[in-house]
Amino acid sequence: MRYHYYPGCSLEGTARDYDRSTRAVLAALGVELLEIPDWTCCGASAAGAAGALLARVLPARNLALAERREAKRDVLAPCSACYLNLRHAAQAMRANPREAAAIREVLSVEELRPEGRTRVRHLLDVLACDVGADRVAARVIRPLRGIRIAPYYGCQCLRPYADFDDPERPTSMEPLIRALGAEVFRWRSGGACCGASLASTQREAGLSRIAAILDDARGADAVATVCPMCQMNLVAFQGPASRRLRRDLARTVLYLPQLIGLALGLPQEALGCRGEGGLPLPTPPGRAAVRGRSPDGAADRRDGEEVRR
Amino acid sequence: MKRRVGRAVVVGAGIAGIRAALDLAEVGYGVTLVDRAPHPTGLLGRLDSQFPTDRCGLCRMLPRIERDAASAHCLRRGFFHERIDLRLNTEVAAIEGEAGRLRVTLRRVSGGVDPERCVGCGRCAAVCPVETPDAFNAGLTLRKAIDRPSPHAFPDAYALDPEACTRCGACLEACPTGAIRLPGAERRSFRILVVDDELSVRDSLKEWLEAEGFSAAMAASGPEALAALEAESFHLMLLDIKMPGMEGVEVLERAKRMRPALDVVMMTAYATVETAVEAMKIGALDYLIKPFDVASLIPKVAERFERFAAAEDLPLTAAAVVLCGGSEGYDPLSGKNPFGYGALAGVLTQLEFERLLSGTGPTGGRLLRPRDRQPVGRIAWIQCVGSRDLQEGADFCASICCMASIKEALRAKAVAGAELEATIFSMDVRTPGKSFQRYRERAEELHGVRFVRARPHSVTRGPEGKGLRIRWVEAGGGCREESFDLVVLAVGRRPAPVVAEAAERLGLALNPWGFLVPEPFSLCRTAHPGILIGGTCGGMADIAETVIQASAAAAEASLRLHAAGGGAAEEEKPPAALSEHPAGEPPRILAVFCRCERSADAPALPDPVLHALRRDPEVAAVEPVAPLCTAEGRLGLAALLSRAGANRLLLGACRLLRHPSPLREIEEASGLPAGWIETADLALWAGETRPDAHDARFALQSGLVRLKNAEARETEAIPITRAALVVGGGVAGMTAALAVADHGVAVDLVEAADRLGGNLAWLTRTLEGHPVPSLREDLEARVKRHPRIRLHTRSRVVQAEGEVGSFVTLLEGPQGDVRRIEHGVVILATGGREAPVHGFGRGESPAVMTQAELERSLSAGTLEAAALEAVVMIQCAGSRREPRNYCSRVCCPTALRQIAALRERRPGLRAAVLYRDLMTPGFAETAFTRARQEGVLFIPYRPERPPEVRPAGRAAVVTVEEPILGRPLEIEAQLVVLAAGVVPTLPRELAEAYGARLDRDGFFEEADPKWRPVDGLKEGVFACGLALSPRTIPEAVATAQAAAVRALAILGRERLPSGRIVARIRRSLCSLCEQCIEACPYGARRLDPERRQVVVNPVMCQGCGACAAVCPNDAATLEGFSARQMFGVIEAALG
Amino acid sequence: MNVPPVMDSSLPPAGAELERVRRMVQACMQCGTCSGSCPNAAAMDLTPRRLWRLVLLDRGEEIFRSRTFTLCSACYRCTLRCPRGLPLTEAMHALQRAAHRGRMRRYRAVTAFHHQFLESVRRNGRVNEMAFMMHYIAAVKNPLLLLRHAALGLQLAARGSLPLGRRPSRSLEALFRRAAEVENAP
Repeated sequence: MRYHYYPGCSLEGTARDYDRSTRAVLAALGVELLEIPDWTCCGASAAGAAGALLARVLPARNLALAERREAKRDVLAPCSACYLNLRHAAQAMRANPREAAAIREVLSVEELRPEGRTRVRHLLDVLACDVGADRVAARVIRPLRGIRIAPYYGCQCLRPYADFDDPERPTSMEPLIRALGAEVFRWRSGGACCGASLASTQREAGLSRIAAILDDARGADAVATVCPMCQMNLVAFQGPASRRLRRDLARTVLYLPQLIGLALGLPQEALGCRGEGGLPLPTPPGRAAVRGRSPDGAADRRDGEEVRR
Repeated sequence: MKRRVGRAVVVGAGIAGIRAALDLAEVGYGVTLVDRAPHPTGLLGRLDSQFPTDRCGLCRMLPRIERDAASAHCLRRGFFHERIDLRLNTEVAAIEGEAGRLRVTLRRVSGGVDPERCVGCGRCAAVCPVETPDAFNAGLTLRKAIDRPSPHAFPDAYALDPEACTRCGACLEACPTGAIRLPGAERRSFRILVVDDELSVRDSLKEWLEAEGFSAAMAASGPEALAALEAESFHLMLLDIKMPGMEGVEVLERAKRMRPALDVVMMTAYATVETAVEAMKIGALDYLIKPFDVASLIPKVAERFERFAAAEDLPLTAAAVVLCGGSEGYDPLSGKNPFGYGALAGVLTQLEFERLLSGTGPTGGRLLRPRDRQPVGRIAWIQCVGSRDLQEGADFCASICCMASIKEALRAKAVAGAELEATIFSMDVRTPGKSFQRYRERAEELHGVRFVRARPHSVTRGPEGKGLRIRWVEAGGGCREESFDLVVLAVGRRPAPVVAEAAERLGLALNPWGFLVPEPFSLCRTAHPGILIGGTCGGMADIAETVIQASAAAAEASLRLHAAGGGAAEEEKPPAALSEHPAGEPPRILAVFCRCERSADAPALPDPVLHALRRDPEVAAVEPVAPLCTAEGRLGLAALLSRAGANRLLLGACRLLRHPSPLREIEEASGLPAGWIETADLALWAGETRPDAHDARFALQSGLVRLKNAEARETEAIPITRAALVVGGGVAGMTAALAVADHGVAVDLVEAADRLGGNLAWLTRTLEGHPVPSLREDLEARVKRHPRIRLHTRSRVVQAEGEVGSFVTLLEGPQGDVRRIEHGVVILATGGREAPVHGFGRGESPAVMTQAELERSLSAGTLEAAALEAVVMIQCAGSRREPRNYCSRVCCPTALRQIAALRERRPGLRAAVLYRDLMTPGFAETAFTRARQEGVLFIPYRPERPPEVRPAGRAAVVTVEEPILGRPLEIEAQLVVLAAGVVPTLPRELAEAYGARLDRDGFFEEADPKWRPVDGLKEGVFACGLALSPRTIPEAVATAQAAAVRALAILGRERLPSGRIVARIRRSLCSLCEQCIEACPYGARRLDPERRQVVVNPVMCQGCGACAAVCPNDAATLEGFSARQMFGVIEAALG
Repeated sequence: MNVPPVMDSSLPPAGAELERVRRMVQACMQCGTCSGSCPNAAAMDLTPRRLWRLVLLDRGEEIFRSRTFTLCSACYRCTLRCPRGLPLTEAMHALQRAAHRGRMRRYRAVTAFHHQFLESVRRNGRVNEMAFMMHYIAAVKNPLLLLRHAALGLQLAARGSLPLGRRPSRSLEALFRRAAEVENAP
């Protein structure tokens, strides 16, 4: 398995750990990454606000670079926002001839002439569908037994493109979590919105999103994320969110590849983890060593996803 | 009884299929009625009640004229008509040829239970180890893989579910009559090629397929697969999409070139589903998403196999085929499913809820949550799930769900008590039928059903896991949240898969949602003249409209049959040999006992019972006979009768003889009149335990008593005048007259105006865009030159009297001249017109006009469209409130059409529609969407705050409360169009002269609003068009055709036969109190003033016995139910 | 009763962007699914449904008096669930764009956020988050914001998440210019 790799700006910055753990884990699982040479920002949410075309051109440039290097290979993006922008651009190139023509016109200033055949894949898509839980399970040497992990998908890897999971009731992370030997924490907020940049621009609205999610994660040992924005919001605003709800909302939030890496027995530094990644890590057997977790904190409050028949 | 030459095939035995088949059979044609299911009646067979009557009325479809030709029991149990060959578990494999000479190939669905042999003992189900969700109960309960298809099924034949069956063979051994044939005995010969580059996939597939009894060969690559295909033949290929070297799609293309008949199913990862869909376009049948499991793979393979195995094809020639494939419920799991169907307990579809309420449902009719059996206090209905939803590819309205939800709410309250809280969430509550609006208001005001105008976006589990939480946004913007115990999804409908198959096979057009597209101005004609659309495969409709549409299709089919020579030759059946057995003859009874040959250990009757029988002086002989379920057994009866010198027959047999079909043959074979044959169910079939002596004696004795006291009279028949009178020369009247006259029957068509056309005179085009004037010219020309139609314009009915078969009508012509017309039936097509409307600035501003006025000025070209800046349509101006509290159905689509017409003339014209609930059922919804897309503004208003119109120069200013912004808006418009609605123009005296009644709004009152929608309460009186209810042109045409085919059932013969069981009058005892006349629900009794006698019309009498019950003197009696007979039966029961 | 006329063409034109938005949401049937689905609806002064209603009624002024579209966090729930399949998230973006282009004072903070971000992209090809935040805070001149984010920055830096060094940069000047030309071409 080989993919073009588009890390995106955050993974060089605040989400460096995501980048490191992604590379480490994929390497361990036998996935080869070809970082797109000279990649540039996908425009995040800002480009859309400034110009509709610019919002397509910025990601399309990166797809064009990937295509120039090797045409029939998927582009992997770990950041959900980057993924969506790239995905939008790919969609435009494929399905909207007028827009595609405009994009090509602009890209010609950099002498790029993409055909627009490149497929864009989110890291979670690749892990869940291409790598698969079985392959992960086969390499786990340090199972996260007794650990309850809340799968947090956020928005943009699920919506609006239902590429690999059900956007209303996502489950793609669950087999992976189980493959790690961990337990899937049932909650309602898996597909909830973290508020994205609202935490910076519209603080109150943003904080209420974050607080609701952290509150719902009560009873989980860790929240697994697949997006730098989600991760940042859930980690950096735990203090204000706690003050807002007058409740302790301190939670362990880790990137999914960090969790996988821990179970694969990769060194903590390679994953950007410190102090066991903040996780009450499995000192097998049992959960006796779980710190700061009252028994009733783990009270059963599952969002009964009952399956009929 | 006569049988006309010619046969039609009706595909689908739901209500549309049954209606169409019955209509054709009643006209006299042979019909083959085919259904894939093991049991007829489709969706309606699973509903206990229908709106607006809140009861079941399927049986009301059964014929009243010549009623003995059909079964007279509940249609949900089963269905029989002597001219209808009902073939269940059967599908149409091919249709070829042209109208009049279609070659139809029927194929039995492989495997299953032979209904001719099954005796319904249930031993198969008792030993069957497989439990599977019961489709009858919408999966809420389990059934065995071999079981009764419906708890009502009669005769109680069992059916096998080939998908659930594991072929263990337990039932084969248990079946005493050898009625079961397991599917898949031929599986070994079904060869499958698996193509996949991954060894693990190949290995597991080989293992699974061989475990299921198939033969499977493997190929690891495309070239390898092609080589295998060249070398030997396969029936099915399972083909991976992503393979190194040659990709699956390429293999598919090449394989299809090499072996076009090869079935191919693609295998794909989630990521390449798009490619799989592409592959289906180039010939793949289906695809499977990897990783798949046995449960998803095997049914698909089995399905392909079943087709391969169905070798027992039955070829037929038919003059016409009526497609009644119907529709199926939208599956919420197939979409985005924000309502948690399947994931949250307590989220049900409407059908599941209907089953939950049913006495034959999972909870025995108590309203309990299906899983935890908790009582239910609050229920929410969510409308438009999978309907009116572009994201789900359904830009149409399913037309039935709003009313169905209201009915379910009322039923739920009836079952669980009035304190049950029922809430219906909907965007519009669509009540576009005759009595629907009042039904809705009664639900709201009298029964407290709550209507919320909102579209909930999702259902989630409530706090603490209790209840189901719905959050919605009110019109004003406020967010509301409530918990419910049950959430019922009003899922939309989709065409049944057979519709697409039929369309492809016959090259018929489908609309974007997969429904068949009828020809202009018709609901049932297709581009292929021999193929007709019956029922909902041409679009969704409620029961009444479906029944009308099916009858219309039958009328068209009948015309094809007639044109192909049907009816030219009529086969006379031999008359019953009654003269040999005069009624006065003392009874000499032959008692015969079926000697079951199905196995060696058939039990014998207990000796004491036989002895008692032999001692009876009126019993001439007691004989064992060859099985009566075989032709041999039946044919032997005549010889036995004459040998014994017997004139009456007692049959001791098993319950197979309860089926009307073999009984009918025994009657024919024996030559005895019907009342002179009795059956006794003695359970005399193989393997049954020895019959209980008491039960056997009772069964035999009651039969004997009835035979001893049986009086047989010749069934009467009344002569009829083979002519029809049609009153009204609009589109409905002309269509009905033509449909009848085209069958060679004389028609008198009466029109009050000086020319034909009625409302066609001013309408421009239909919503679909077909020009109306051409329709009018065409109809008028055809009517005028038709040799069988006598046209009376500027004429009116001044007097009428008579009964079915012999009406006499006096017509007054233009010069005051009076003509006397004799006719057998009358069709009232008196039409309707736009209702008068007051208020809304009418008469105050030149800008205000009605829809009809706008239409007239559009067609006359007098409207100065260029001067228009804005137009406002005000819907329900005077409609849907007392005294005109009904929806006129046509006004909303008309408003949309008129806006489009105005915008053609004045591009960029701004338009707003002020409405209460936008009534665009069916595909009219598409026009609604288009109008929104084109920028028409839609603003709902509440009836208590109607829009206000005030004149402003040549324009007018309309003020309306905008509910979302919560403030009034003003719109200045140069044109304000009022949707006034439709009122009927059926004079009460005219209706009453023919014994018809009007409803409270002046429309014709049907015999039953759902099931006999064009029949009057009195036999021989029909109505169509606007006289029935407001409707569009194609809908009016359909009612006219329906009325015509119903009339032809009467006019198709010289004499009308009565039923076997009819009421009689003993004049010596009659005191002329006339109570029986009032009691008769069919109007079959009247006082003959000249002879001073009560007389019974034997054709109209349905043998219900209401007269006998009310008669104080025992003067009214029912044949076959005399006091002596009934007391004798009671005596026998007491033993 | 002071009722503004609904279809008075004398209203000031709300701009080409607004017209684009109107076309996007024209088929709306006001079912309210978007408002119900929106995680940020509670913080909005106009619910999305009302916003679209105003768009259909050409009420530019009222729309741009509202902050609703700045509260869209692009979660795409409304887009996913809209029964008409309308591109509602895109429409929110288009309104943001209109506000951006119109340089409306009310949206200074949001506009500045986007502007500083894009400046960073234009100049360096990629975004240095730290530098960008500093520019943004300077642009909106809100010291409180600085404090808040300083705390955040320190926290992240402490976790080693925030690199303070500089990376190689690449200008996208030409690309930006050409995009603007192509988009604004008639």
